[in-house]
Amino acid sequence: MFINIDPSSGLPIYIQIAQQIKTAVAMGRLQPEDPLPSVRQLAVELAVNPNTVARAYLDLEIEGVIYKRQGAGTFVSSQGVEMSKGERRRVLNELLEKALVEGVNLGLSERELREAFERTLEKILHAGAPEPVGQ
Amino acid sequence: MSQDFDNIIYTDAIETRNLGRKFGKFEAVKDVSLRVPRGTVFGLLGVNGAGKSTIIKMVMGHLRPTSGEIKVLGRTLGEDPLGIRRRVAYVSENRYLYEWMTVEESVRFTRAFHETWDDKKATDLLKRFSLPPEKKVRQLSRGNRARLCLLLALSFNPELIILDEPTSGLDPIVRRDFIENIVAEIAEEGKTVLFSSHIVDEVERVADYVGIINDGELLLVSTLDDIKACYKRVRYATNGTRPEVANVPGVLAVENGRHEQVLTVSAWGDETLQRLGERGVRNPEVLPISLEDIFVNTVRAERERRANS
Repeated sequence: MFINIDPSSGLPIYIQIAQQIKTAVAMGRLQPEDPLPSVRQLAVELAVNPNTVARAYLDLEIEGVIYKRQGAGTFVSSQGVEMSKGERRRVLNELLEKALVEGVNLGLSERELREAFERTLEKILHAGAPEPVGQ
Repeated sequence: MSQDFDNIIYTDAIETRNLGRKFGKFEAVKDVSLRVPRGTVFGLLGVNGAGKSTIIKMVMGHLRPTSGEIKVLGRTLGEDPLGIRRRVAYVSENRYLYEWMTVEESVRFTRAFHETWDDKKATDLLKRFSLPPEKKVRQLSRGNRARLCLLLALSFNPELIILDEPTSGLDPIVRRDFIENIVAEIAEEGKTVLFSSHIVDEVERVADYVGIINDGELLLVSTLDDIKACYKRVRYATNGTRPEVANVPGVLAVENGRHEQVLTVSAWGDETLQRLGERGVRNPEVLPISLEDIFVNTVRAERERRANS
């Protein structure tokens, strides 16, 4: 499993780990019932505090993305992909908020913002499916 | 500055109270109170000469404090120096090795002092680090000397591992060896680590608790997660007028751009947001901030505060 940790990004490392695992599930790089490395293995691999990995796993477990099986390890749950829809919505909301704040600061009216949103959405929908992410 | 550990069930591996050390008139360490709960990793962050090593030497009992108290693994310092030395590993930048011994002899020599010595672990580390057993210590590269010190420190299964600038001057490969092995140690139950470093990336990766030290004073001590939750960058367009925000509580630094202001805030929350709003800040964008920026801004703010008082 490849996880890219950037300590200097300012985002807590446990969130970076949790988000990247969720993304891997959403993209299908991790499938239901796939095993995850143990806390210790992943901590050593990423050179981060094991408590940090444990916290990321705990958050993912609470969200239902992964589950622990006694004595066998940690696995991606079958509802993992379903859950990641909420995750996708969260990413979208964040990006939308940024764009809209920029728009407000540019001095656009509410009506102009709504029109711009509708127009952009139309354009994308009629251009066909968007390119896969990362290509 | 002191830590608040309400509802924490751990006992502390290290506790210092109002610790101070003077060299003549020079105060190297001033009123430092900190606690390192068992099973956690505490990173002391500071520039060279900030007082990190002096604190660690006092914790190790190599240097007597001029004021304050220290408890290590539940014992007051000096109460049981030998017992403590058997339970605490110490790795410093100035590595204690006998030049004329071979690697193998160094291992055997250190083994004799420790009933808890783990032969399997020593052999494993010797292999993992590719240390040549027949070579004399004086012939070892800097990196291999550091690896040997780490091997000797970890092989007796210490409860507490204290590292003073362990990776200073080492290449990235040796540094990674250090971090990976320290991480593996922490993963074993009950191990506690106190380490000092001026390399922020390292502290950010492995520390649960961070203490920022400057001119012998502890400026900030908290869990890394809490620090990241409280410290934020706030950015907004100024739209002609420049809000006066420098004296809003919790605003550590203000950078003025042509059409924007960027704040470093040390206590992010609704109250700060409301106060900024009262000063005319509109649509602020809140961004995470790296430990490096927190470190630099905290030390600078302290220097400015002192220059102005």
